[in-house]
Amino acid sequence: MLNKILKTNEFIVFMILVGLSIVVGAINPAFFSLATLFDTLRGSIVYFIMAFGLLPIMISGGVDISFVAIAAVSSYATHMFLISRGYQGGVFLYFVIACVIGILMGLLNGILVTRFKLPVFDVSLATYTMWFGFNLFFIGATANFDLPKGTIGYYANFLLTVKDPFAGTTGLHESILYVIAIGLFMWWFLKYTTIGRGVYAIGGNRDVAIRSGFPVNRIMLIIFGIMGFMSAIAGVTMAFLSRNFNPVIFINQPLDVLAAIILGGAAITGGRGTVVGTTLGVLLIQVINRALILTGIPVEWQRLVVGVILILFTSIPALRERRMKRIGHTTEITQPG
Amino acid sequence: MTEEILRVENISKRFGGVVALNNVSMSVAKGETCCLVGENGSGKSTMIKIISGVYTPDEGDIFIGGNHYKKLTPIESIREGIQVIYQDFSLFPNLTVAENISINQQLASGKQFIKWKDINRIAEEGLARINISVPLDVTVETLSTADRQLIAIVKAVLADARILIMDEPTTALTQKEIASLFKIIDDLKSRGISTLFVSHKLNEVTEIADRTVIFRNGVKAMDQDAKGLDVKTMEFYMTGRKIETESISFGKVDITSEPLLQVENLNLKHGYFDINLELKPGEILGITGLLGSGRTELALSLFGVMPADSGKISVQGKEVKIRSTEDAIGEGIAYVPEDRIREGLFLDQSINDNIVVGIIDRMVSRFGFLKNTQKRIEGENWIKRLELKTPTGALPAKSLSGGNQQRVVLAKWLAENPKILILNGPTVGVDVGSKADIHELIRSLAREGLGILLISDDIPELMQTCHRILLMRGGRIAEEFKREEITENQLNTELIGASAVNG
Amino acid sequence: MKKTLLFVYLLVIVAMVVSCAPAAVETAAPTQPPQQNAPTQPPASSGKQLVFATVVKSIAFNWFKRMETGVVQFGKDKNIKSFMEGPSQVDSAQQVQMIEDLIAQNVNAIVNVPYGVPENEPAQKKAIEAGIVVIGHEAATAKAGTLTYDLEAFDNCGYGEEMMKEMATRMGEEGKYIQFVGSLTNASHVEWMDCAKAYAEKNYPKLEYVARYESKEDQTVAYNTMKDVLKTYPDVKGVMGAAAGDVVGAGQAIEEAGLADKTAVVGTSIPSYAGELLKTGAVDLAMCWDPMTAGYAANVVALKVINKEAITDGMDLGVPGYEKIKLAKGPNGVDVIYGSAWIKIDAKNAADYPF
Repeated sequence: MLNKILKTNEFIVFMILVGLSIVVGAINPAFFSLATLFDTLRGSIVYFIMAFGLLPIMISGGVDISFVAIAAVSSYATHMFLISRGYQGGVFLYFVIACVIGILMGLLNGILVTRFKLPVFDVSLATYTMWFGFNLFFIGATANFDLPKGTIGYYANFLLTVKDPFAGTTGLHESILYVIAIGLFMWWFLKYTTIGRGVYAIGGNRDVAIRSGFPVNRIMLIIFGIMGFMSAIAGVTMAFLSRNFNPVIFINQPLDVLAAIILGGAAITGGRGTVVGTTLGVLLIQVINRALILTGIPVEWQRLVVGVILILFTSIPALRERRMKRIGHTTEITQPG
Repeated sequence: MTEEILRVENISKRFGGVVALNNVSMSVAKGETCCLVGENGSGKSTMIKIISGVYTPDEGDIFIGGNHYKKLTPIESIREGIQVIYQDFSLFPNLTVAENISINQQLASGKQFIKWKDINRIAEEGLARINISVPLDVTVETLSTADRQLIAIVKAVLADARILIMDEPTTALTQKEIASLFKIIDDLKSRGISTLFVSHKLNEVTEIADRTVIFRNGVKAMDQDAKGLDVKTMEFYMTGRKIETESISFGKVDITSEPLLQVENLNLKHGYFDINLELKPGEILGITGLLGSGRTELALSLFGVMPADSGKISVQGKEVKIRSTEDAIGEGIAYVPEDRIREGLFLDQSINDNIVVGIIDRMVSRFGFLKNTQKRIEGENWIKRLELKTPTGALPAKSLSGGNQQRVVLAKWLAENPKILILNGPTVGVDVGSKADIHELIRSLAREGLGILLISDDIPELMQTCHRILLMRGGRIAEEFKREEITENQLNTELIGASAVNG
Repeated sequence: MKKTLLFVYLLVIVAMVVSCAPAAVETAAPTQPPQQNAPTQPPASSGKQLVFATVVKSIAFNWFKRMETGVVQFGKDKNIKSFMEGPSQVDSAQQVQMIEDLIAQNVNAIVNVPYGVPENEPAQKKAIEAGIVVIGHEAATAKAGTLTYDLEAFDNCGYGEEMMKEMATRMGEEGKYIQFVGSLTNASHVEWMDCAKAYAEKNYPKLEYVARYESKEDQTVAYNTMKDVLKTYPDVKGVMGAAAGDVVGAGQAIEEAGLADKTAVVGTSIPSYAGELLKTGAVDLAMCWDPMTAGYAANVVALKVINKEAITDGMDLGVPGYEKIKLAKGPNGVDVIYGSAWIKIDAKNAADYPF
């Protein structure tokens, strides 16, 4: 049993994360502090939400990049609408409206994929471009810092804070609770529901999934709806944390999220991927980004270093897989009779 | 007589202008093993799809266990206890054995939530029913083909199958695995489960069938008790012509001539050991052995794909180094792989392009342009020589049948004018008629002076082509037979007996 | 039936999103009636209206929205078809593509605000070779021949030094400080920061430079970086920002850490971005130039070149802040026109600058 855990992809990513943390902590002991933990989580919040939303689509064998556009349009359109109506209340209504828009936008992808039998990536590339264009052309092109009164203090709703006489206060933002709730939900959904297993089945062999009687189209619609929902939550959360609504928020981020999911063990061809792995993947990317500042690597070197680290880390699971294949894995079967 | 479980009457099915089935009737009795035999395109697959509800017949009636259907949906078919084991086994490679086995129950129950305890329990029960044990928590992709097939059978049995339809189930199995599959089929029979066994490996059919049905060109050509039915009769009904195995003319090999290929003390770690062999011009040398005996590795070494670690290879008396496929081609060695679709053909490219791909440098004009006319002439030349059945070489290779595709692969290599031809399983997945033609082709190539190494575990094939047969066991050449000095049965015993040694 | 449902669904989704778009029909309202300033100079190629295009790093910034009002106003004042465009995200490749398209359309003048100066040079050169007047902005390091003129609101070095003076004063002229630039290839940003650093080395011996960070013109990146800087160098007392979002992100991080009073945050920004943080004191001073007047002035230069008027040292472009321009050669040979158009915005005067 232990041996099996040691061989999982999650464990390898976890060990890389631990190893990297030890190296960074050795250079800058400030890394091992609650403040770093809180900051890392704060920086990961929206990536967690988006990655959890995208994970089922990756498992089903699709690669989607439009989720960032869904996050941007659902949050920005909600904001511009509420602001124009003079809304001064809290964040709840933002989440409700944005989630409705997000689900509808996600379903649009789902309909294009299931009804017109288009590849997920092609559809998402089209909707990615279309929705960002739509946002800029119809809704507004500039970041808006004008928040309703009821939402202004939201960014500072901390569950816990740590104080340092020099580095100041660091807080753990309450939205980490939704992240945990969403993570637990997705874990349960993927492991304990028939639809969740259907997602793996579709990624393993779509034709067989259809033949076995999985409602493949319904499953695809559901996971696209989930993706739209999660993207909207991520978009609104991001906006309130950074205290402005930006029509092109995340426009450069789809690859960061995809990279996190893939680092976490999901295959780009589908069939594989777990919530735990994705969580570790998101954290790993966050720590890599932070490591550069915390270790004082000059900014001129950062891109090179990030590239090298990514090559190293992505090649470790691949090398391991190749080794496993070479050794071969056969099972002895006792003969009947 | 025993109770009839399935009966189809006067079934016809057309696709556009093509008649796939024409007024065919057949039946399967309880506990019966019925073999459905026919060449590619004879209508076997269409019949399976009609019985499983995938196709709706244009005319005819289907009776299952007393219920009458004009048309059948897949769900109705499954409900009536008809289970098809497709060649891909309908498994999810990324899911565990347990989940693959119990997924149908889960879906059928309509439950929205998974209880992993139940999943494992169902899987254990299923495996126990056919008395095999496979670890429940490994993913199916790590299993061998035979194990996957067992999982597929367990799934079918658990679905309360009354008839198990197996479509070419032995294609990718070793002799030993086939033997255990047949034991399972016998075991199912004792519990009243019928099997509709679709195959064109006739020696297997004689072994397993209670009754044999043969289709030819969409009509039923024969339907009779399997007792006393021999391979020749079946071949006759399948092809509509007599295939003469007695009158085969083997080319003469001049024993005194210098060997084309000589291999001395060749070794490859984890592959084979101390291999010595000689191939004379005009000789067909068979190499057989079970999977894992090292036969494929040896072939790949001679072609430079997996270069040998030590030993000596000589071509026409001159020692050569073969470290890459380029080296091998340079020495006039050609290799036709087993999986022609994956390794040997560009399916979407034209037949001509496939034939000339190896000699493309000879087709290029001084200015670097491809000379299309020459390409066509070369292509048509080979199409004629190898009797390829196609209206034109401009069609894509995927438009050809399996046997004809194999000829294209041969043509591709022959176009390079090799001295030594290595064939690995040249007729795997090829129907009987084409098989005989390919065998004749191989013999005629040898008569022209080529040296041919034929790797195969198809014993009749070896007996109908080879001058000598080497049997490999555990990476070593265990025995050498002259064709005239051994019978098919003896060779079969030797081959299967090898498994005991392999352990 | 299903098709109808699908149609209704699409209708709902479009309606929902459009209804959220109050600004959909509002276009940039003219600040002055179009006829107020009749064309003062006749267009050079008589009969046909001149076409001037202004290309910016990205249209998704309030900054460039403000510039657009100047560009549009210029067109109205001079009876020229003057418009602005830019990628929806900062991206040199897309920007170059837009310039190529404008060359194909044969516009008369292009004002370009390049994201990466070297990446834009070949396209600018091509435009000049096609007979188009190309005026750069924030591109003083361009190579000779890749711009007809570059127009800067001010001399970069002077701006950087001014920023340093403001920060140093607020730090009591001692302590550690860091710098943010939008990108390391942004010549103006780098020049401001280099001059600021050099000025501090000469005049404030007790100031200690720590490091320079790249915000990728993304406020969130500046925020996360600042958080880590606070942990790595807890005694940082001063922050300079080059891109408009830099002090916003850094200021948010400092405010959340409760260090607003201990840290001097000074840098380029605009009231609509930094307004709240200026009020709370997390950002101490936003410095900028008015992109509206810069956009206007750059187009004026283009028009003067087309009309074959000489550009001379000390000349008045007729735009506030550009009444007495300075002419100089840039480091790589391009002719640069400097105004003296910087503005300083703090909590008190923020309301005067509605952009």
